Amino acid sequence: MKKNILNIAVFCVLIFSLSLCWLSGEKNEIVASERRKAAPMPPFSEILSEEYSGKFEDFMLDSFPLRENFRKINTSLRLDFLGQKDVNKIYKENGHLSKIDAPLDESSVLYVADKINSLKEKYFPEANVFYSAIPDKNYFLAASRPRIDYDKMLSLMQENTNAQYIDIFKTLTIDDYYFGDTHWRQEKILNTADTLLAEMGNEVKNVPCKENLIGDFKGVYASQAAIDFSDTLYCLENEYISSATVESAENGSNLFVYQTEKFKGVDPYDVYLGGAEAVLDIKRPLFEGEGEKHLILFRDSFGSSIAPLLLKNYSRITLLDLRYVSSLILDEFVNFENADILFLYNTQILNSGRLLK
Amino acid sequence: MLFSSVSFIYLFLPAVMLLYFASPRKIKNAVLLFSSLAFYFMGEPVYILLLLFSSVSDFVHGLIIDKLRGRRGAKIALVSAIVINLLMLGFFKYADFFISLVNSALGTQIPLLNIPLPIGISFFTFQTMSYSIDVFRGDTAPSKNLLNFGAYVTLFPQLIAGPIVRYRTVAAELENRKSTISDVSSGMLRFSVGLGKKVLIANMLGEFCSAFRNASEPSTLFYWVYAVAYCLQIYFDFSGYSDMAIGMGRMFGFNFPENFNYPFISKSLSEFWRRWHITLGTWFRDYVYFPLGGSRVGKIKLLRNLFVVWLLTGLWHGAAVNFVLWGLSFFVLLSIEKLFLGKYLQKAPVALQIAYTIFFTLVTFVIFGSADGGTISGDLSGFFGLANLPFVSGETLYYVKSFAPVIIFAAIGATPLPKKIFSRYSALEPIFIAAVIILSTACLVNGSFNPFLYFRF
Repeated sequence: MKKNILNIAVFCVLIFSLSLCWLSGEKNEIVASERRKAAPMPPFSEILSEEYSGKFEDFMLDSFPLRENFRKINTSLRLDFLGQKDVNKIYKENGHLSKIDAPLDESSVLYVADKINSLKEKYFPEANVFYSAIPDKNYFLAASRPRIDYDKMLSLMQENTNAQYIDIFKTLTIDDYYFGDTHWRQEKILNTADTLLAEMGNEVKNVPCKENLIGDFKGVYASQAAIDFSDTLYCLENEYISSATVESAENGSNLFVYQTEKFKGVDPYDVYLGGAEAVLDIKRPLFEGEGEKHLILFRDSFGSSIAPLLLKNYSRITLLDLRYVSSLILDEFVNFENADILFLYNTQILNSGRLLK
Repeated sequence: MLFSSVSFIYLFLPAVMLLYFASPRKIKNAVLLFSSLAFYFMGEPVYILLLLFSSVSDFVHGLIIDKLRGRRGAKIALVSAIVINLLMLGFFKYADFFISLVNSALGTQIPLLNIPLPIGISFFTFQTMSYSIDVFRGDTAPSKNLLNFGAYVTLFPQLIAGPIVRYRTVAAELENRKSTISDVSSGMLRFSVGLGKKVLIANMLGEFCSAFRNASEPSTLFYWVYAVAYCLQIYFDFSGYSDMAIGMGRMFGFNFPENFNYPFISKSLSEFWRRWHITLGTWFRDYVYFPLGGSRVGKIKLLRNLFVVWLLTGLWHGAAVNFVLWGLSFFVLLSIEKLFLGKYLQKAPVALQIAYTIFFTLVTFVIFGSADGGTISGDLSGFFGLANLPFVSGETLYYVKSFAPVIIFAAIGATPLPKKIFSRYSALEPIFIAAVIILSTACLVNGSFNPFLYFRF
């Protein structure tokens, strides 16, 4: 009898207490750990729709009490107790977190190659056009896991792209990336930036940089997998970077290269140039003996942290993110004349090429 | 709404429990009826009318059958009840399948109707048909209370995924039942067991099966492990759901029949089907196989009876060729067992009998599972090593190693062993309930929608 009462008590306490917590708790608009908006409560007017219960379930899942604690329990159950090799495709290896991305989607890679070719033909047929691929962390970590065939990816790009390839794989190691995030560390990619500049025909200036500590943060993989991994974000300063201003089609002019107020936002990496935007224009004053030099950088989020490091050789850098702006209307925002063109994409973007409009 | 969803566990169920246990006895059936209608409405807002129609139709037919008992009219009423149910099932579930077959056979291009399948239609039509047949046979008195009958048909614990509960099983409980502390406790324990089976085991096995279907480096080993994982996934998914249904029934004072009885320890395929989806098997046995003569006929008629039952069983599972072939594969295997192999099988060592049963179960479920992204020939070729694939690949090893503990745990869990061990430590039940609820919630919160596999039925 005592056991029966305990069974009922445990069952009811758990179910009813979490239920009451959900009913009375605040419903957040953002799921910070996953860097996305929370599913909203579906309007009652849609109750006759078959999708209503699914949408309501999503709403309830996103606003569930102690959500992050439950996610940590799930991660621990899978990784530590059941010995699974990944959770939500995120795995731990050599002190890093990374996300499985496999197999190689050849059609996506060919799509990107074709995109580069068509943009060149349409907007800058006479320009110096370069492209490069940034290896994702799986390149260094996923030896015994499903992974992209990187050699095949690069050879497909080289065989099908009408632009000059710059190899930056050799400039990078896993130590150049955050532990719990997908991105590279700005303070570790000076050599990579110099390689890009040199290959684009620039005389690379030796400009020392000062590391400014911004703070500790939890990277995207750590957040997605609900694993406690801490990283430290730095911003590099030199006279070229500190004199530059940023103009955003969406957020206005005279913004700083580093927008440190965004560090406490949904994605701390948005410190670099304010994060993902369709069109950004970085300009700086000319220094003695310099002429104007313009770089147009087709990029993803990795481009935000490397672009400032290219300012020592370019007085103007225009960043275009084709995930947010159609390639059909670029000439409404950009003048491509007399500019170097660089396509710089992470291998995960190349493997999901159709994200580019 | 799924049982294994946070909206069900943390909103619907506590609300219904509060309403039910706070209500006076006289209106408890009304509470269940309206809760069940609300439950069905959340998933099928339009088809709730179909459910109501089915309930009223068989209620009325039951009364007519009883009133005209012994006369020709009773038989006409019975046929009418069955035809109405079969027409509903046939139209909503099989219309497009038969149109496709006609188009394939005759080269016509009749457009498909693309009618969405009402959730649980295979379950509640079979339930109401069994009622009308049982009334006709005199196995149960007809219900004189539409509300109580409606509560029986729509009862949410078993409405959309079984067990298929016959009216006569719960007739007395509908009129007069009690939920003792022991009932509620064992119901909550059973519900928790089912929730754990579904969320902690079946869903994880489903992740492995999904990895298999998306593999870029398939291998023979991957096919073998997939066959085992898929079979176990179906078992834990379905038996877990049945456990939740039975557990909730128990909480509300009903004793639903068991639906699974450790099918993987069966020593023959005949025994397997006495342990797997028991309520469906007994339904076909009592309402199709026995009326056709059962086993007490000559060999030709026995084969005919088996063919009819297994064709219908396959069709019941889905309006697709692979389900029909799956059913017919059991027809072939069971015919061989009954006519020839069975007597030799009984003399074989037990381990061999179980191995034989498991092997052919795996093969048949490979056919069953080919609806989920594969092809029958492709999957069978892969399983038997005829697809020109390497025996193993790096991707195979990765996923097999990753999911080996879950698969092994599931394999052990599919035997009576855990229950035997756990029954010695019944004092730990409260801890078990808490652990399962917390861990299941953790998995649900991390994931998203996890539809029950048998929802296609």
